[in-house]
Parts: sequence; C-alpha cells; structure tokens
Amino acid sequence: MRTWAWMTGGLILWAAHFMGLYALASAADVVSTADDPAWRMGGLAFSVVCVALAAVLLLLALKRLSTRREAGGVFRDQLAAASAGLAGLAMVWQTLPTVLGY
Amino acid sequence: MTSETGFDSKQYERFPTAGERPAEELKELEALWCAPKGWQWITAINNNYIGVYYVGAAMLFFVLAGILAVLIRTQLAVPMSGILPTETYNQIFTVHGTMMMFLFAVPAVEALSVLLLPQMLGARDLPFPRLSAYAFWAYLIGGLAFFCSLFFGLAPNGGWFMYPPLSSTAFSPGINADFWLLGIGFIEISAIAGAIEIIVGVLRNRAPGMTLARMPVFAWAMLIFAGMIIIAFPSVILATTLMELERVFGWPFFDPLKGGDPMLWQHLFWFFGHPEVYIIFLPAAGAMSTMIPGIVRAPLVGHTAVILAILATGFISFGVWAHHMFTTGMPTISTSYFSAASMAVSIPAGIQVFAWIATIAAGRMRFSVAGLFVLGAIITFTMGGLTGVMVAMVPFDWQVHDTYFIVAHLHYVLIGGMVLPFFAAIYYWLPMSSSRALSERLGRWVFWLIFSGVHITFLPMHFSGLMGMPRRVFTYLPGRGLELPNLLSTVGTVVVSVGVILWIVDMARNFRPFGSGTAGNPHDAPGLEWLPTGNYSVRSIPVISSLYPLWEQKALARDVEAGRYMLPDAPTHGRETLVTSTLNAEPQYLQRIPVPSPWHVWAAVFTAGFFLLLTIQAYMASAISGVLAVWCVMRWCWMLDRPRIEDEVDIGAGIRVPTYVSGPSSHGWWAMVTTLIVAGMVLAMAAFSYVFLWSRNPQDWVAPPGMASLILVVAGYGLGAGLAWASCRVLALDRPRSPVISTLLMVLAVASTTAAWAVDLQAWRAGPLQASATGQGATVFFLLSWQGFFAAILVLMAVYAVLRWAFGHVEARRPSTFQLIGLFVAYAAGQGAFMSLLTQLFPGG
Repeated sequence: MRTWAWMTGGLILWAAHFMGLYALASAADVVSTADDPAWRMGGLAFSVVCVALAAVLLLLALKRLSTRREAGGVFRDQLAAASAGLAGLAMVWQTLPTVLGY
Repeated sequence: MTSETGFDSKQYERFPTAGERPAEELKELEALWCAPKGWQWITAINNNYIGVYYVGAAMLFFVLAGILAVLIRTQLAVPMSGILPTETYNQIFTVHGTMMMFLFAVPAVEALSVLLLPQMLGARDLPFPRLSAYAFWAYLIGGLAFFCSLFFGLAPNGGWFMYPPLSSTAFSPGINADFWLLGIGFIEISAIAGAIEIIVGVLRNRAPGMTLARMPVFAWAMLIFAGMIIIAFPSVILATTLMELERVFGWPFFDPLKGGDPMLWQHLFWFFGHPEVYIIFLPAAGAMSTMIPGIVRAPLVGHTAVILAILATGFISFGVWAHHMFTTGMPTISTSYFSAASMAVSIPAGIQVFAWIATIAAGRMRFSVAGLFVLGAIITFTMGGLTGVMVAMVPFDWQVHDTYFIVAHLHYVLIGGMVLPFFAAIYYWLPMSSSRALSERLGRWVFWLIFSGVHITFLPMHFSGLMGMPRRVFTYLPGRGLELPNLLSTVGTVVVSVGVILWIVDMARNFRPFGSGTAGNPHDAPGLEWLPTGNYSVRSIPVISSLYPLWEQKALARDVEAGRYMLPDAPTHGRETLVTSTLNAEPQYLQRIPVPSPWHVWAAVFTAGFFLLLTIQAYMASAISGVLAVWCVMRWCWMLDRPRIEDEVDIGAGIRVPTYVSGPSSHGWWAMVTTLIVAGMVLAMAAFSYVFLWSRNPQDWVAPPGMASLILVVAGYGLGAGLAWASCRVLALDRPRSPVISTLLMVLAVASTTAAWAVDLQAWRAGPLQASATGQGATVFFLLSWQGFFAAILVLMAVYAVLRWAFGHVEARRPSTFQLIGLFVAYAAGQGAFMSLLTQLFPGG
C-alpha cells in the first residue's frame, strides 16, 4: 500500500484538496454564506498547505529519481513526481475561486 | 531489481528451459481445460467462453438500444409527428439511455477485459472465474427482463437519471420507476462483481516479471476502471435503495415537505454518474493506447505520461459531479470549484490524445479497419471534449442546459470515447478468439457508415440545441428552424443503422469462436495476448522483461508454446494459475482454479428472480427466490478453501511455490477487502446523506436516545471484533480443540455484533423518531437497516462456519475461510460503531 500511496500521493492530495474546498464552502453556506470572506481565507490557507505538501512530494520524488537506477523503481518515482507536479498546478488553478470570491 | 517478496530474480535466468517437454503435459492441460459439451455450455466458466458470451450480450443490448434510438429519431424526424404516443416515447428514451449506459457501455468493457486480460497478463484465467460467470448471467437475465418491460408498458419513463420528484409515487405511481430502481441496483451488483475480479486479476495474476512499468496500458486502464466502479457504484446503489424505500414505505429522503431534499438524489446520482463517463472512457482509452502501437508498429509515445493521465482522470473524475447541477441554485463559489475541476480534467484527457497522435506520427499508420476506427475515435472524442470544456463554463452551461447541445456533447464523448474504440477493439482483437478475421472490405463500409452517420446525427444537434430545442420532448413546433437539423439527425441515424447491420453480417459470416485454432497475429502486435493459446490460455507462463514482449523477447512465442516457461504442466492435476506479487509480479503461489458447476448459474437466476419478483410486488415468491439464491451462493462457497494436495509444487526449472496461502497475500483476502471497500463507500455516502439532510433543516432535528445505549452498543461492537480476532488466533494455534473453540468464538463474535445492532435499533425505536415522518428519521432508520442487512449476513456466515466445522473443514492448515469471516465481522462491527457514533453525536442533543 505504501508504494501505491507514494505513486499516487499527489493525486490523493488533489482529491483531498478538492473535497476540502467543497466541504468548507458547504459548511460556510450552513453557518453564513458560501463565499463568506473568513471561510474563504480558511480555504486559502488549506490550499497553501496542500500545495506545499505537493511541492514536498515533488522534491522528494525528484531526489529519489536522481539516485535510483532500477527500472521498476524509476517508473514508480516518475509517476510520483508527475502526479505531485500535476496536482500542484491543478490545486493552484482550483484555488482561484477562493481568491476571487466567486 | 529489489525483491518485493524475497524471490531471487536471478531464477528467471533459468528460462526458457532446454529440451523437449513430455507430450503428456499438453494432453493433461487440454483434458483439464476441455471445451464444454451439452449443458456445460451454460455452466462454463473459462474466460474464453464467458468473455465471448459477455461481449455478445453487450453487443445485443447495444443493438436493442440502437433500435430504440431509431424509433426516437423517427418520431423526431418532422415536427408534430404522432408515430409514437407520448408515454411510449418517454419509456423508449428512458430505456435507450439506461441500456446504453448500464447494459452496454460498462458491461461491454468488462466483457472485453474478461476476454482479453488473462491472455494479456499471461494467466491461465482470472482468479474468480465463477464470479465472472455469475456476473455475466446476472447481467444477461436482468438486462433482458429490463428491456422486455417495454413490451408490457412497464418500462421506466423518467429519464435515465430518474430525478425526484418526477420519479416519486406522486408523479410515477406505477411500477415503471421500480423496474429502473431495482433493475439498476441488480445490474450494478454484476458490475461490482466484475470489478472485484478485474482488480484482483490485474494485481495478482500477471506473468512473472511483468512489473507495473511493463504492464499493458489496457490492464492499467482496467485496474483504474475497476477501482472507480468500487468507489462510484455504491453511490447509485444507495440512491436507488433510498428511492425505493421512499416509494414503498414513504421514508422521505427526497421529499422537502418532510425534511428530505431532491438535491440529495442529484448529489448521490451524479457522484456515480459523472465518474461513470470516465469509467466508460478509460478502458476504451486504454484499449486505444494498446492498439495504436500494434497498428502503427511503434511504441506508445509518453507511456508513463499516459499512465499518469489515466490515474489523474480517475481521481479528478470524482470532483466534477456537480457540473451536472449548475442550474440547481448551488452557491456560486461551489459551482466555480466544480467548473475549475471540469476544465482541469481535460488536461489528462488531452495528454492521452496527444500521445496517440504522436505515436501515429512516429510509426507507420496502417489504415486497416481497426486503424480507421481508432482515427475516427480520436476525431470524434476530441470534438466532444471541446464542447465539454464549453459546458464546464457555468454561464454557457446555463444557456444550453437540458437542450440538444448537451445531447450532442454527450454522444460525441461517449461514441468517440467508447463506441468507436470498442469497434476498433473488435476488429483488432477478434483474430485472437476466432479462426477467421473479420472482412477488411466489409469493415471499411462499416466504419465509414458508422463514422459519417454519427456526425450527420449529432453535429446538427449542436445547432438545434443552441436554437433552444429542449431534451426529452416527444415533438416540437414547426417554423422555428428545427426541421432541417432534426431531419438530418434522423437520416444520420439510418446511416449508422446500416453500418451496424453490415457489421452484424460481417460477424455472422466470419466470426468463428471456440474452435481449435485462431487467425493468428495479423497486426504483428507486441502483447502477450497474441501468443498461441488454447482453452488453458498460454501453454506455459512466460517471464516478461519488456513492455512489448513479442517485439523485444525474440522466440518468446516458440518457447512459450514449447512449454519452456513456468507452469508447463498441471502440478496439482487440476485447473490452476500462478499468483504473483502486486508491484514486481514475483511468483508467490499456485492458485487452484475451480471447475464448472451449476451453482453460480442458479445463484444468478434466483438473484434475478428476487429482484424481478420484488418489482412486481410478489413478495413471498421474491423471498423464496432470495433464500434459494443464498443457498446457491453457500453451495458455491462450499467448494472453496479445499484441502491441500501438496504443500509445495515445482512450477518449472526447480522453482517451488506453495499451493495454499492465507492472509493478506491471498487472492481471497484481496477480494474480501475490495468488497468491504464497496460497503464502506455505501456507508460513506449514507453518512454524507445524513449530514446533507441535517444541513437543509437543522432546526427540525430531534435529540438522540442517550449515552447509555451508545456505550453499550459500541462495547458490543468492540467485543464482536475482538472475538473474531481471537477466533482466528485460536485456529492458528493448531491445537486439537482449536477448530471447535475457534468456531465457538466466531459464533459469539457474530452474536455480540448482532446484539449491539439490536440494542441500537431498540434505543431509537423507543424514542420519538419515525422513519416515515422526517428526513432525520428516514436516514437514521436507513443506517440501522443497512447495519441490519450486515447482521443478517453475519448470521448466515456463522451458520456456514458451524457447518464447516461439523463437516471437518475447519483446520489450522486452511484458515482462509475463518480469516475472511473474521475480517467481515470486524468491518461490520466498525461500521456499526461508526453509525452509532455519527447518529448519536452529530448534531447531538
């Protein structure tokens, strides 16, 4: 399971980020309004944490790639790096509504 | 290579072995995997047979649903047409959509994988062939019954997504909606059974050396497809169950007057419904990525990027469900999140399309029929994808929502993303299971008619949609500019129909399955599925050292056929295959595969009977059918976990592996864990429903029963899980009285878990909450009912455990059955505790 979590870590983070943003907006909608500034700032902070985690995953994967020689491991590290990179970009993109407020 | 299991990969160097293999080996394999005779054609479980049946049934439903499409377009050819009565039209378009989505698209790709995967992975068969066969028969019987409801005017008529309140008893008082709700629930069981088979098969039955990096893209896609089914389908099972409970017992999940909310249906349905689109697309995309290298004779460009794209699509597809709900009044910022995610999902889809184009550019394109269908798929899917980005934008979606623009978009995506690749797959892979290939000359006619017909049909729909023509209307007024696009669409449908008829003619003339030979490898393709095979799949299981083994491992086909690789014989003198590790595919043990028996067929018949009789409200007959189905499943399970013949066997070149493994390394464990993930997803979505309904009317919710019952209930569940664990530990001690004590402990574990549920139920029943009065009551009593369902299964398992002990089948050398029962008990206890804590602590008193 650890290898699978490593390979898809970025994507798991991406999914968690999306669900988190949606949950925050829904909770805000119950308490006040979905686009309440305070809740949005909470969403922004959450996004920053998620993007930072994706960056850490990316750096770790790149570091492992620079030292590893075995084919199967390289493939897994490549997937881990690419998924973290893609997830980072996607999370920044999906954070825009939080920043803009609509 | 770093070992995953302790296996020394240097042992692979012993293969191919030298010298001739004894002739008796092949004779024994042929005898063990012999072709069925007489009634055995029905009880067959070999993937070479079930796969063909399955693909055939899927294409039958495709043709039947296609006939309905022709009827729809005939009605809409001219304005104010009266060819079909309104009610009939409603039933036909509902059944058309439902059949295409539930009876063709998903089963067709599962069918393709049942047919292809064993050979593609170098396995003798998938790990649970009876489960595949059960899934097929359940699907065929359920699907035919569903289609036949049209002839009695009982077919559902509320659209393929059956939104409440239209599907409630107030507006759909007959049993038409029940046919949809129970029928779909039943067919989903078949889909989930297939998914479990695929997950375990892809992860555990690959040829030695076939690491994740060397796994065919189609296998990757099927793995992710099956994972998505496990996550997504429980949502629709839950939704249909809730709706049926509302219709039959008046539990108001979707009734806003009693604290329900119709939006809950949309969330549950689309949490399944949008991933469903990618569930359909990804296997077809995987097939494209596997076929294109064979067609252009060049490796796939960006192989790792394509795998990443498939994985990414799988993940993000669960974050786009609400883009079907932009017009429902959700908060703007929420729709923006879904809009952003919907646009983002086009990136991984684009990666795949560009990889295909680059591979075609890098190789030498052969314009065979399969090649033509591949090109047609790329063009059509890209067009559909572009309109997908358009409707991902909220303001545009508001304009075209529920118009024919959406009809055009979804058909472009689904036909380009699944139907055309599926035809490509038929023309490409059919030579491996037929003694004759399909006709290239006739096939070109088939392609051009289908391809041009699709565009003539659906391109004008963009315009009729933009002009405001709504979906699901049985007619339209003249003089609004809609005549020409509608007439063109009807003409296009006729063109497609001619193409499909020609394909049927081609199949009738040339498809010759189940023979002694195949048409060979006409594409010079690189995958293992093109190795010479018999009913036993490959003669010996090869050691893989490349992503394209037939291109890069010279003489592989000759050596495999000569039995110079693993398992050239049948060491246990039964059907068997090799189980390998998940990452590096290192040999772990020999799995004994069951032989045909009638129990899975009867189980499918009685399961179908249970649901169908329930639909027509024949409750007693339904209950009898349900009991018989349970009996058949227990008989089926009785043949599992058989006594060992030998502890270890030689699988070739002196490599010895065990014939029995239990615990997390065993395929049975993986299947049980996957099944429990399905149950866990139902639980998660039910918990979401509970919280969602609370968020709509928090002021109306009443206080829970109190902490005393909660402590008792949680303690009971904890005791149940502990006893189950103790039962397995006692059995592992292997003392003379271990079997009886272990059985007793397991029975007590079940009793404790069931008692905890009964206490919880009684505590709620003693309070003021009523299931039919409020949304809170409905969800709380649903959660209790769901746990009650598990309690009933536990009781059956306890009876089964006692029977196995009584017949002497409980022993330390064979702990799998008890381990799996223990796992189930532990899950059920955890689920029960979670439900109690949720309903009593949230929102609390």
